[in-house]
Amino acid sequence: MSRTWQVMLLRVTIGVGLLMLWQFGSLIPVIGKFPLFDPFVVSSPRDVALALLKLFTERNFARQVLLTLGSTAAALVLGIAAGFALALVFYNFPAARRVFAPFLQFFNTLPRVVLAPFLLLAFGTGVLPRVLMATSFIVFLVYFNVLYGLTRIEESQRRQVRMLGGSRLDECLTLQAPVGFAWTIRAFPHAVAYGFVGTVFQEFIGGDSGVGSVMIYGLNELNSAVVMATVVILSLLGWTLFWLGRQVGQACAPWRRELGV
Amino acid sequence: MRKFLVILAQLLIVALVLVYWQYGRLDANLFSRPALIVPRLAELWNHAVGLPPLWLQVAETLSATIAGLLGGLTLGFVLGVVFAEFPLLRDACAPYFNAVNAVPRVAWVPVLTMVFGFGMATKLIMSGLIVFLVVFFNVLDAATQAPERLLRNARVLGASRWSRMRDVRMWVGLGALLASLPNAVALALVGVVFAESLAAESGLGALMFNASHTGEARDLMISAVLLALIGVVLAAVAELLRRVLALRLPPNIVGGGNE
Repeated sequence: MSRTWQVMLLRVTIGVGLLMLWQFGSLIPVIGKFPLFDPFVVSSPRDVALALLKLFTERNFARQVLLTLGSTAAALVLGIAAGFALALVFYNFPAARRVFAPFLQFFNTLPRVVLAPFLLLAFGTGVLPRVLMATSFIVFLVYFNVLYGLTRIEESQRRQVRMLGGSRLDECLTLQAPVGFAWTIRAFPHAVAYGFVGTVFQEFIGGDSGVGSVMIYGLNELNSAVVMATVVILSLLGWTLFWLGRQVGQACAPWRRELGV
Repeated sequence: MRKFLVILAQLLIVALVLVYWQYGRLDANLFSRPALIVPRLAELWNHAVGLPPLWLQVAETLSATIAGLLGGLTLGFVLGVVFAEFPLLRDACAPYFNAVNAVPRVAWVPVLTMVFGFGMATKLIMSGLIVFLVVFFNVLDAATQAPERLLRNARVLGASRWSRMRDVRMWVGLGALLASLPNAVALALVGVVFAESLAAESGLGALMFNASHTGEARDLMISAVLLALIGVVLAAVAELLRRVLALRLPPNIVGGGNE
């Protein structure tokens, strides 16, 4: 039997085994009494499937999924634009960069969780605070990546632009922007993942819509099937988003290689 | 002179922010004011009505962070090295690992809360889980790509699986562990605060989210600033530790290729 088949067989076995354990774990003597196997606490695959069906058919769950994805996308646009612009400005004004560096470093290491209650109180439970929370993750990621990329531009290249009569603006547009963009693409899969986490987190802290808020409803009703169903959906979404981010990165690969990024 | 100017500008910015915070047209119900916060901080520290003393809450959040960090680091490191040595098992489990890793971390909080209730256990496990996921994937990745030549040498010399794990993969994994240390420390704190955000009775995160529900701006600001400071200090300590420890690793193993 070839190795690929072995792996496939093992995968299926593990998957089926885990599902069986989840469904029938409570029937095991002694161990089955732990809350980890209690169907009331962790639900069961059957109930989760039923809950998913019900969520999608009766409670318009697709709308919540789209809201979460939409917020993530909006945050990506905002965060990438802001981080990119910030890096470009600070690269061209080193004095300003030196002054603001410790503050940016502070905000980058700041546990973003502490922003959540302020966003909630200032902007309520709608989509805006989610987008802002997710943006706060993406901005710094993009900023530090792009800035690092820009500092690696060689002095000779910059001199070349000058020698050909290019202005500062020309250098910005023809040399810095493409390099910065290539580094943005490099950070893109992580930006997507962080944006998704930020969105779900703010929905979770106080959202009136989105997958994260459905999860909290489930918890408040002690409806473990709904909680687990949202975990399954979030896992699928997270995986798909990261995959999409990687695809974008690979689609730009030849062009990035040309720039040496 | 130039350095002096930069520092001067930075101090000026901090001063401006503080002055604006105190006297500016900010919503005091949201951000409070420095003059209101300082007395409240003194009050909270030892004896606040209806709340555990602040130092105890700080201690609780910190100890949960450190315990979760240590647990997650250990488990992630050991399992990362072991799974690297058994490629069949690793490939078989890969899709399940990826599925778990794709869930936004915060989504584990309701699940853990249902299983372990509101309290220290959920905080510890949440923080440990987040750290574990980061460390495990990094160590697994590094230990899997351990220098092939070293592994072959070890095999020729009759090394068992155990000694290949102990003498080769462990050291490569250690490099990855160190590299992910700052990230892991930051996430350990975030994990604890995630867990506290939901419904813990004490801890800085609980104080922060309860304050946001009751509209107590001073408590909200105090807990947010304290958490931010703890986060930034922990990150700095981890970065320092990483740099110091990285120098002590045998370079010929971490760098690959034993000439």
